[in-house]
Amino acid sequence: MPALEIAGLVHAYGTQRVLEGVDLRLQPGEFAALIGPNGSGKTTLLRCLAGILQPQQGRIAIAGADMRSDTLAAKQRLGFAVDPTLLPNLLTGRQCLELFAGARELGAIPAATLELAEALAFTRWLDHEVQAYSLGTRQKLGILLGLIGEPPLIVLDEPMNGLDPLSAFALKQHLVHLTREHGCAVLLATHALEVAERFISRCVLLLGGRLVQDWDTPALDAIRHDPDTSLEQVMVEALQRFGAPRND
Amino acid sequence: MPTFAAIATLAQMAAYFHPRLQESRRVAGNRLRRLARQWPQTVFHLVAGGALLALVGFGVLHIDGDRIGLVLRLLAEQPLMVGLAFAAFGFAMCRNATLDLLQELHLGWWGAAPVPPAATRRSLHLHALLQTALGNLIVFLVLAGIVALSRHDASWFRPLLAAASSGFWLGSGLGYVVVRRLGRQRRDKLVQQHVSTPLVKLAVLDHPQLPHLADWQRRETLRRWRSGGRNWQFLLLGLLFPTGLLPWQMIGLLLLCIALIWYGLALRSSEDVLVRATQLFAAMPLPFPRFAAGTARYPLFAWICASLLGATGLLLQSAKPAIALAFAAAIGLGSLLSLCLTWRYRHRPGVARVRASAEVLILLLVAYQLPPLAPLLALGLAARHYLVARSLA
Ligand SMILES: Nc1ncnc2c1ncn2[C@@H]1O[C@H](COP(=O)(O)OP(=O)(O)O)[C@@H](O)[C@H]1O
Ligand SMILES: [Mg+2]
Repeated sequence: MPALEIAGLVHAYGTQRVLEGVDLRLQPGEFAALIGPNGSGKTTLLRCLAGILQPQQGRIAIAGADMRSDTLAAKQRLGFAVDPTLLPNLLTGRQCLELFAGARELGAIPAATLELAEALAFTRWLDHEVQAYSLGTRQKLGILLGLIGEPPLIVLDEPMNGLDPLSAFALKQHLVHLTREHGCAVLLATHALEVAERFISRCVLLLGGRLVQDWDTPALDAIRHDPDTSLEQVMVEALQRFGAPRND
Repeated sequence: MPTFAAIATLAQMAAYFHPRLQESRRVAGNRLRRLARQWPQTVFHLVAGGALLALVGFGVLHIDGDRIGLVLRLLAEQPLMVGLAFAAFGFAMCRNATLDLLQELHLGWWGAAPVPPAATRRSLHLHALLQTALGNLIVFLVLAGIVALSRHDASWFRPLLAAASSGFWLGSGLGYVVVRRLGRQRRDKLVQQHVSTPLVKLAVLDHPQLPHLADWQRRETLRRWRSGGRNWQFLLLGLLFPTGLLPWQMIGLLLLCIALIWYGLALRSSEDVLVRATQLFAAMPLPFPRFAAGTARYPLFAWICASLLGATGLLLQSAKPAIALAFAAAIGLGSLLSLCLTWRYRHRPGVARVRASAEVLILLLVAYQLPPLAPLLALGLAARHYLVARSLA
């Protein structure tokens, strides 16, 4: 059973169509990067598949549970990193984590989450209120909230924004560990191509409301092993080939 | 053993409602803890608040409760009108509150969390119920307060309370149902959008070196006006509007009240924008007098409009021109004081608001005892606040 299945997804804000028929299927254990220039609709796509936005058309299934007809089961199988701007200012990080653990019926904050907090150098912020956090610290809390309980599909929107290199590396390693050891699928949106290097097993390019290109593991490996080219170069060429994003 | 049972029930309770409820509980707990930690400040606020309350209570005791009672008795003779007015109030209140909560649950940080739909539904029910009960309690307390003040006749109390409460609950229930139906159809309809584009462009309002600041204040005012931010004041006006006036007197009174309500909103929006602009321009090399001039233009314009409108209203009620002038001067001085305080406390807007209320109260007392001194005192205070504001840089 695929961890994520999207078919014919269409979403518009008012009359502005942002997604025009997106199809995507992720298997358990895949670590996929969703790339695309600013404003190409990455956030919109992720918010649709997290059940926050309601798409006008299309089907979304998370590990077999349909997002429209079986929302609760679908959301139970999905971890979505919280947008750092939406975090509640007056709670402490620990309180936020406890609330989310409760919503996932976990009783207490799982040890794995606390370990990741340690690896991200977040532990010393756990008992401070969110309003005292810097952008990077907020970002870390949002990620921890998304990863709590290690659900089958993990979705992150620009998670490296504001993270220092050490924390970013720790996060990438943790995500790789989750895909390899726990069979989680990870979908990570980014506009920064270098983030996608090395760790990912798949990469899709969103442009003009569609996924216009899909690199699988062999294709990525071929690019990595070719001394005359790099992932960044290939992706920039693809962006140029498909032209600027359509603004209609 | 009973404690275990209690904990189990608590856990079940928690699962019974949306975790947003627990979030509110924890936020309240954090607030209380912070108040306890910063106890000197808390004690000061409590004492100051108590003193202010005593002052207000002293003023209230001198209100002629019998006259309000008379108005309310007249109102009680028209239960349908009262019921309708409160139904409209309840509808607007419950609709907006439920819409805000629904939006927060769907689009906020809980958006992707797995919460059973039944728990969300129950939480929305509970929220609407508590909101309406609280609103009804406030209506009850206000009316009961008037009963306590009016020492003679309180026969109007029960019919009025019955009409107001039943209208309030009916309207509130209707508002709730409307939002829930809207939410079930399409979630994006839940996002409230209010256009802030003014009908007429007023480029003259813009400061040459700080363009669009006045426009920003104006748009904020328009947005709040159009989204019904002052509906409750209109409701109050509708409720307390005296009957038996001549037509032009009625128009005059209406003009005066609308001018006051609108001006209150314009001033408040301008001050809020001023605070946000302070944050926006924090790193700009902007001399304070220029910032002050840029942010004072729209309030000044609003004051001129409100004075003209209000003075016309007063003259229509056959007031003397001197009264109309005094009216314009009074609201001008009051808002000058408030604006200067906001400049002074532009980094701590809460303080500005508390001080503005306190100083206006003192000015009113002074005006009551020594009328000629009040305007001088007001000007002196405003000047002092402006100077402090300028020295802050
Ligand atoms: N709430 C919204 N209302 C209207 N348009 C929006 C909204 N959010 C995003 N958009 C538009 O949708 C497009 C895609 O935005 P987004 O999904 O945030 O892109 P990305 O995350 O790839 O940068 C952009 O053109 C943006 O202007
Ligand atoms: Mg984005």
